[in-house]
Amino acid sequence: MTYSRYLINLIFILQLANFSCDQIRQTDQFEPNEFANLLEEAKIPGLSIDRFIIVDLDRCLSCFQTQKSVIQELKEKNPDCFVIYISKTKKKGSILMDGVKENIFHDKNGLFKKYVKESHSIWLFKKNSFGDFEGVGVF
Amino acid sequence: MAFACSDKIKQEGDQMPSGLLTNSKSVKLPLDERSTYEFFNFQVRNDTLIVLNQPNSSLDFYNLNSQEFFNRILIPVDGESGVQKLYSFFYHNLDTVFVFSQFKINQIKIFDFNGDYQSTISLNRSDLGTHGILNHASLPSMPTYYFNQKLFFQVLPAFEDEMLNDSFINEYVYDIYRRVVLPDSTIKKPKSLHNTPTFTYGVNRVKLNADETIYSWKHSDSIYHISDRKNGGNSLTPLFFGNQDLIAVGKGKKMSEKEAREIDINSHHYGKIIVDSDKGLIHRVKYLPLDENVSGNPYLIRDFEIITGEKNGNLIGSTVFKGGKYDPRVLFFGPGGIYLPKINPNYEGLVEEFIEYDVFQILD
Repeated sequence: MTYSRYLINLIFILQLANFSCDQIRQTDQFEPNEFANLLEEAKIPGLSIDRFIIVDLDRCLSCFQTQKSVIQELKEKNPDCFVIYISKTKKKGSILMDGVKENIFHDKNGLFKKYVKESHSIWLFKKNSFGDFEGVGVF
Repeated sequence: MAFACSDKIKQEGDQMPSGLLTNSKSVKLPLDERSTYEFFNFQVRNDTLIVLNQPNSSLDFYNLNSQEFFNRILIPVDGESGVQKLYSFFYHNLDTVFVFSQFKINQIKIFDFNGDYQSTISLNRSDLGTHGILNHASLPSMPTYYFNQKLFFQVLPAFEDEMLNDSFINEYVYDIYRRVVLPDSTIKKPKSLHNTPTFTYGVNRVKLNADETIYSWKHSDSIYHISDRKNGGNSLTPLFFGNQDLIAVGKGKKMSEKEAREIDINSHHYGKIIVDSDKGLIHRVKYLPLDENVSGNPYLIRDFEIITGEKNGNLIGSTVFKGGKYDPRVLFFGPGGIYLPKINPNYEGLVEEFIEYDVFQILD
């Protein structure tokens, strides 16, 4: 591989890293009734919660550190934010939340997996002025 | 009640392997509140299993004989000794444990067994010469090794054209004292896979020392044994353990993703190889075809076979396992035989308090 190719590849990878991990971008609104039904199925009190984070902890092995740091930052800014973590293991969620057990749901069977799409492993949802949830950011 | 018991017995009977290997014992390792059963990246040294615990950012040590957890090296995330995107490691001795970030071979951190940070090995761009980005892969199927003051590591093709490149260099050697990275042409793509689609790419390799390597390709029956390189030779001994039931991969590189997945799932192909050095045996995982398209990870669904042969190429026999119980991607050879972890997500006995291995051996 030539030096110029190396530089091109490096720029490409840096761009990918930047888009996938560090930037938040707007996402499409999704079907609110479907989401509400899933919350009901999971016995999550959706009416009293304004913000959700959905994170897929099994998507990539080495993402956990980044995911943990992002979730902790979001929780610091929005302490009432409810976290739904998708994982086969409950312990990952416990480590993710440093033992905090409130406002957290372990989605063992991937009920909410459809909302964690593309290459992003963390999605943030917020209730809009109409009372419906919409996706407001990805990491 | 009677029905339930009969069904259970039948189900367990269906899952018993058939063939050469026999289940000789089970090994159960305790998992504390900071450990999951995801033992995906690990190294075995004598009777010790060292596991990369990514969620906890640590290296965890287990004794496979006493079935005890006995040491933990915590890897910081930040600071001088910090490793971001902790990815893999190589345990050399009590003083030297190499720790790698994801896909990077630069900024290697060294810790000792007590968890004390020792030093950082930095690799400058000039050290890379003209070799460009090194997409460092360090997985149980292609571990990084340290022999004779050199790190031997594999790389993965970063782009499709590299995957299709029949001359792609799969391995590099990093001489950490001379600070130079050199390509190593030990691993070669078999001619039968030249000019074939990207899904045929896949290498497994074991290094027994700096001069002896055993490797295989996912879609090739042959296993290659290279030795005696230090004597000026580069003896390549292809060992044949297959029974020629691999599909003939058509020549030509264009294939849709759907078509490639269907061929991949509906055909035989090979996985990890492990070596029993004492007995001179090689064990190789072979995935058996699925009859239909399935969603989910096919490696965790399909039945598989472990083919056993001698290093001189003689086939000894094979053993067929039902899918859905083990994760054959992360089996290893340890004290007393082949360790297969019962961590398949579809396994009904999966719990979070311990990880259990079934150990298989050839009965004398």
